[in-house]
Formats: sequence, structure tokens, C-alpha cells
Amino acid sequence: MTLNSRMVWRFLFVVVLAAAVYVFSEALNIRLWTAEFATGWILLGGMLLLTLLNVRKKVPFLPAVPVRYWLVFHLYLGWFTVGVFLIHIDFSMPNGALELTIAILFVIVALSGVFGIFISRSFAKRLTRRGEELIYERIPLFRHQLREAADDLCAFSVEKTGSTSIAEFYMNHLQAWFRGPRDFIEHLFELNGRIFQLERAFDDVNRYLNDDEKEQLEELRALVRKKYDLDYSYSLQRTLKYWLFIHIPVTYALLVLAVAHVVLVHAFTGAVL
Amino acid sequence: MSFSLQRFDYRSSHYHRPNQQWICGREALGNPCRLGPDNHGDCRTVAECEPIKKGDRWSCTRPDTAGGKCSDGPLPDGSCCNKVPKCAPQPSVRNQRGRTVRWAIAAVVGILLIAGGGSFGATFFNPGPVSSGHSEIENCGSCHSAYSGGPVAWVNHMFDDLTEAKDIANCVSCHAMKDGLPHNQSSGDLADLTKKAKERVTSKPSEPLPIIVASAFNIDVRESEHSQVACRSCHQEHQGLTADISQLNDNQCQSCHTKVLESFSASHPFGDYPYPRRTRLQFDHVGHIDKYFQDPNNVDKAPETCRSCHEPDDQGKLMVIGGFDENCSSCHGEFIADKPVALIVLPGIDMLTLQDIEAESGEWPEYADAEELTPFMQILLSEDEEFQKAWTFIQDEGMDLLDLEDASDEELEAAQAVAWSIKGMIYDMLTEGPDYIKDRLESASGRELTAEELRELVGAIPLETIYAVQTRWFPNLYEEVETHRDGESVATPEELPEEFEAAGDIVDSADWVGTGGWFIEGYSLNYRLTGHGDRFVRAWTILAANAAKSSESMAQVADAVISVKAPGGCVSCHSIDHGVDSGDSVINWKSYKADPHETPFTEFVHSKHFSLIGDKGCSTCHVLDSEADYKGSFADFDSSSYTSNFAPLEPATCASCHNSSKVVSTCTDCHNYHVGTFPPAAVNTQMSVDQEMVLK
Repeated sequence: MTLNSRMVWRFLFVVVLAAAVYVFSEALNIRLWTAEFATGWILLGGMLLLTLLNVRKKVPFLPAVPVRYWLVFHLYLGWFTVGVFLIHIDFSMPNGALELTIAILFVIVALSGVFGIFISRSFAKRLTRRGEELIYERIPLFRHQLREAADDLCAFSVEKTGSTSIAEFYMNHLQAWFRGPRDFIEHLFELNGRIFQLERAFDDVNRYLNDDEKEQLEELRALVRKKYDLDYSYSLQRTLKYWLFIHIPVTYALLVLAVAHVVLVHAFTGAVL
Repeated sequence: MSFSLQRFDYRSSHYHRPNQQWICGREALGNPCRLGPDNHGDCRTVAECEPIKKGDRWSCTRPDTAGGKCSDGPLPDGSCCNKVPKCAPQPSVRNQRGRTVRWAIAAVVGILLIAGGGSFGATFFNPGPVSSGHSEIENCGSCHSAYSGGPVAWVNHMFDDLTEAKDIANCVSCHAMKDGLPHNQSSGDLADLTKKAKERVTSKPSEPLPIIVASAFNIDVRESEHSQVACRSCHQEHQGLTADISQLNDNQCQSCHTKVLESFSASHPFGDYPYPRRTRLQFDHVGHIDKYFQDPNNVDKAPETCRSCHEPDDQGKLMVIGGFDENCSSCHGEFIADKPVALIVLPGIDMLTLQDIEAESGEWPEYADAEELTPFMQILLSEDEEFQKAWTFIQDEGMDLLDLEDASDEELEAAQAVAWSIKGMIYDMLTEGPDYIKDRLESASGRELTAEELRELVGAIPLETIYAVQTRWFPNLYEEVETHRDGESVATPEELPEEFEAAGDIVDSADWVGTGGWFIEGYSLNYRLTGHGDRFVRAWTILAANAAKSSESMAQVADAVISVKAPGGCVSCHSIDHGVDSGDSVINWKSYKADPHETPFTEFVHSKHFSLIGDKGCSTCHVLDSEADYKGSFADFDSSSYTSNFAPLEPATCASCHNSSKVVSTCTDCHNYHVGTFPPAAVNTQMSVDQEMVLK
């Protein structure tokens, strides 16, 4: 993910806007108003606006602003609410259980959002660079197909060459590996340790094979590489889908607690109107 | 070997809807059904296709992605020949995420409901521990009036503007800080103070950005009901056990004090500080230091240092002065009681002429010689109309009562009337007692007197003293006055009462009461002051100061008493403040002593600075101003019109230390917000008294 000048200007605009909120809150403080009320309502409004992205995505038929613009708005509004949040809590962690819970949830939402931005930008490029384009829901099918292909290839090699070398190699090193998604973390960080390990194993067994067997082995090696790419795609796509399992549920939990917080602060420290 | 797993052509790849809630259980096996699960996640596919009838024949509709038309074709009844066993549909990612969201919301709402309905709520909703000073308060409702109603009522209180005023009342129920008004001043006083403050500030330093913004958006200082400032505006609780919620910053002061000072050293106004009002005791420092103490006769009595008279109080704040006995009596003590007070005197009347004309005046001492009546007599005779008429006539005519030889009949009648009124006065004093005096004093002063006031105003004069006056001056007083009041004539006797002479060589009565008390000297009943603090003179000074305008007789008393030449000369040192609102006058019998429960607006701790001043000592700050008209400040009863005989304190003197490089000063270093007298909360501990014993 690289920064361009447009991003920098947008981010600077957000910083200026947050600074304006800070100065305004200080102006309220200096006149003995409870500035937290103002920053709190701005924060709640910002959070509700951020949540609208999810609503917008669920109603694609609406003639509203395209989702990609919503996403940009969501991103920078998110940064703005982070700034207002820091102003609201006076740059220190709250003491109360409810307020602390809200703050922790906000931090989780914000960090997961930042994480989401990062992977949305970087994982998409990585997926484009490596392997083929795959529909996430069909990855189990492809994995199943690859495993069957590998099983068939081993059976065929025994029949064709009369040797069990490749079949034994497959049984010992690859059969379990083909059964399911593997090396999830390694793929996220693009460590590539597993493929080097497998390639070395292929090279090690290659020297003991005759030409027919070597031909079969190369076909198996191709299946392994495909499976490795498939796992890579699975890891990245799954992460791209499942980070929202933190971001969205915690957001809604945060909103519920925020509403409770609003009721409490206005009931105990000053009426809304 | 290179090949693709994913195919996107419509023949080899079926369509995936991203918003579908369930996906076919055979998706992972590569042969999902075309129909897919319903919205409830139930499998609804029974065969690989749904044949359609073309003419009289059923035709297979299996798509190419599923292998194309089957070789066997539909059964005769039109059903598909390839039955599909039921699968177990799997929730889509979106479905799983939706479930997670719903569970998260349910969990949070559940926690809130449990917290709101149980004792756990007070802990969960508590925004943080209160400061140690409030840590004993366990019930939230002690401070938060909204708490007691429960969660439903809290929603209602969100829109209740009176909650804050109730909470202020909760605060002041323990902290006696009046009603939450700024500096405990009324709105009118605040307006006056604000006006004066604005007049004092001439420079316009640059203001911080928040203040500029507040002004630009016209944000006024927030007030709750009745112009109150909520306690929590400055004292924000729930910041933790060790939080100091009484610690304020300059910004909070500048909520109202918008004319921002660049710094204490640069632009802090001093006004008339530290001499905002007249000193309670009139002591001319310039006169004493430059004149009296320089007199060779007084050198031995002169104090050596300022601390000979001034010492810091217990808190080290105020420099208090010692009493009269320690500081003043060595010079002034002997003069306090040197002038006696005449209570009753007999004016001289030409009795020889009255005898010659056989007037009906009764007896009157031949040698009485007073020319004026005392203020006390004027009060006692104030309701005697005949006396008032006669005395006014005598005053107007400029009569000389000691020479009535050529007097007209009217003048003679006036002289006799005065004589009978004075005798009647003494008669009434003896026969009616203190009630007669009390009645006349109350009438003249226009207010009721307490027994203690009356006792002090008559100087606890013994009956025997009045009786002695009567026996010496008017031996036949009872018979004469009663006869006169019966309307019968009382002739002027040929033998007038002779002047009293004590038998034997006894001490003079004035000498006898050298330490104070009553004595008769000739035809004058006198009182000698007991010394400084004499309660008789003090009582008359208080009465005169407060009732001078109530009657003519009291005005005469005031003229006689409120004077530096009056007996005792009280007002030469003790100033009188006239109350603007109450109308009562306060005589400053003592110098100012700070009430330990009083919180002034400005505080200065003298003792902290003693080690910092050099050889100049107190005069580092307090510089005598020999040109100031100090005494002129005491000509009236207005304590605010004051000229100190010390030069105004220069801000630069303080700023030599209190500047940004030495001692950084904040508003609250010297100033208090809560101004007033705040006694500590007392505890009413019930005594365990046996009620049965009490009844017995």
C-alpha cells in the first residue's frame, strides 16, 4: 500500500477538522460548558454515518452514491472519529467499567478498520500478482479436485511404471497436506517456507527415479504448486472476508453501549436540551 | 504443466449470488444443485432437473454445467430420472457474519439489562472511582438526584433541566458554599464588580484561540437555574481516588474573567490592594512614626520593630495587632478616664429674686450654677411638654437664669417651669425606678432596649446615689413635687438648701472613684470612666451612633459622644461604619481578625514571605506615604472612601519573584472562588438520656 498526494491531502483535511473540533471543545470548556457532550454527539453521529456503509452495501439497488465513494468517505470519516474519540476521552483512558468497555470496543473497531484498510489494499495486489483468480466459495471444490487429481496420478504412476516410489512419496509427504487448507499464517506473511520444503523433498526423491517416474513426479509437483497457490488465495481471501467478523459485530455492540452511555451522561450530568 | 482451476464461461461455471444466505451442501464436492437452499437453509432440490413438456414429450433440462442432458431422459410421469439426495446446506459468510452481529448485540443488551436491573449496575455504570474525600459515599443518589428512579427514569431525566439544580443542592447540603452563585455574589454585585474590573483593564493582550472561538460563536458562560454555576463545572468527580478535584486551572477562572492577563507580572491589576477599605482602628502610622515616636518624651515608649505591634495570626496570613493594653496604653492609657461624664446637673437659677417676688418654685439650691443640661437630662425631659416649651423659650430669648431681677412674668414662669421639671425628673427616677429611664430612652432612640443595654446605659447606677442626689439637693422633694402635681401652690422657701458638706475631713468623692464609678460633685452627678473599654461610654456610643437621627435629644447625645473630645474619646481610634443596606452603624471596637472559617477573595500568606524580604523588612512592600490624608478618611461613616497612609502596593514588587523565570503564579495561588464564611459541618450526636429519669 503506497500513499499518494490525494490521500495525504484528504488525511490533512481530516486532521484539520479534528483540530477544529478540539479548539471548539476547548472554547466550550473555557465557558464552563460540558464539551464532552458536544464531542460525544459528534462522535456518535460519526459512528452512525460510518455504519451507513454497511446499510448501503446491503441495498445496492439504491440510486445513492456508489459504494466505492462511500468507502472512501467511510475511511476518512473513520480517521476523523478516531480524532474526536481522543478529544472526547481527553486523551486518557476512562475509569468506569462501561466507559472503559466502550473505549476498548472503539479501539478494537478502529484497529480492525485500519487492518481492513491495509489488507484491502495490499492483499488485493498480492492476489493479482500470484496465481489465478478464484471465487472464494469454490476453493473447497478446487481443493477437492486437486486432491482427487493427485490421488489418481499416484495410482496411475504405480500402474504405468510398476513402481511405488511416487505413491509412497505422496503418502508420506503430501496426502495429508492435500486434504485441507494449510499454512494459513505462512501465506498471510508470504513466508514461502513450506514450498521450499516441498520442493526440496521433490528434488530429493527425483534422483532415485527413472525417466517415466520423473515425468509423473513433475506432474505431481505441478499439482502441489497449484495447491500451494490455492491455499495462498484461501488465506488471503478468508482474511479479507473474516476481518469484518470483528469490525462489524463490535461496531454494533459499540453503538448499543454508546446509546446507553448517552442516556447515562445526560440523565446524571445534564439534560440534552 | 499449466492449467486453470477456475473457469468463468457460463457452460462450466454456475452463478454465485454474493448476498445469498445459504449455499448448497454439495458445493465443496463440485456438484451443487442449481436451485440451492431456501431462505431458511432447507434443501429443496429432489432431482438434477425439472423436465419440461414439449408437445407430448418430456424433455430434460439439466444444464451443461451439470453434464448436459442425461441419456435416460425424464420418466413417463415427467419427473427427473436422476434423484438427488438431500444435502445439508451451509450458511454463507454473510449469513455467519449476520449471526455474529446479532449475537453481539444480544450479549450487550443482555449485559445492560442485567446491569440496569441489579446491584451490578451501580458498579458497571459508575464512570470511575470518586476522589478519596467522597469515597465514603456509596449511594449514587446522594449526589445524583436522578439515580433513585432507576433506568426508566434515567431516560426521562435526560430531558429534565432541573436535575442539575437539584444536584447543586445535594453538593451544598454538605459543602456550605451558599447557592452556587459565582463568588457567592448576587447578580447585581457581580455586574458592579464586572464593570469595575473592565474599567481597570486598559491593555488588551492577545487572547488564546479557544477564547477567540468562544467569542466568535458567542458562547456565554454556562449557567443553570437562577444564574448558578454547577459545582461539577469545575469539580469533576469520578477521576479516581487520588484525583484532586479542587485543583483548578487558570482557564476555568477565565471562563468569566475574559480579559486575559498576559501574565501576573505583566498586567495583573492591583487596584487598591491590599488597602481596599478603611482600617477599623484609626492609627496614623505616619504621625506616630515620623512625629510622636521622635519626641524625646516618647522615645522610650516607641516600638522597636513593626512586630512590636503586629504579629502573624495562627495561619500566618494576617498580621494582627495586639490590644490597647499592650500597644497603646503606655501613652494613651492615662488620658482615657481623665474626663468625667456629667449625668445630671442643676442649672443655676436666681433664687433670691424668686424669693423676693414670692414665686411658687419650691426649694432650689442657691449655688447651683450649670448653664447647660446634660444630654441624658434632655432625653429624660424630652416628653415633658412644659419643660420643652420653657426651655425653648429660655434658649430663644437668651435668658440668664442666674439673673431674673428684671425678668418678665413670662420669663419667671419659664424659670419656674424648668425648676419643677428637673425636680419632677429626679422624683420620677426615684419613684418609678429604671422603667422611667428605659421608657424615655426607648422613646428617644426609637427602639426597644434590652435589659443588658439599659444596665450599661445607666452605668449600673445605684439607687443610693440618686437618693443621695435628692437628699443633698432637694430635701423636701417628695412633698413639694406631690403638692405641685396636685395643683397646689408651693412657695419658695425663705431658707434654701445649703450646699452639702461632709462631716469631718474625708476624701474627696472624685478622688474616691479614681478607678471609675459614680460620684456627686457639688450639683453635678458624674461618672468617671473605668478606663479603656468602659462599658457605660461604650453603650452610649453605640446608642448614639445608631439612633442619632431618631430624635433631637438623641442628636444632642450623638454630638456629645461621637467626638474625639468626648469623655473617653472612643471614636478617635474606633471608626464607625455605616451600614448601607441595614442602616445600622457598626463601631469597630476591635481591629480586623480573620474568621478561621472565612474564605476571602484574595489571600496573602505573610509568613511565607518573611524569609524573602531583605533589610527593608516590612517596608519592602508597605511604604509610608507621608502626603496621604489618612485622617480625612475617618471624617464620615463610609469605610470604602479610604486613603491609606501607606503607598499603594506596586505589582512590580510581587513580580520581582512571581514571574515566569522564578515562581510561576496561577489565579488560585492568591484568589478563591468560594468567597464567604463557611463553618465546618457539625455533627449532631444524640445524647443518651434516660427519659424516665428526666420525667421523674
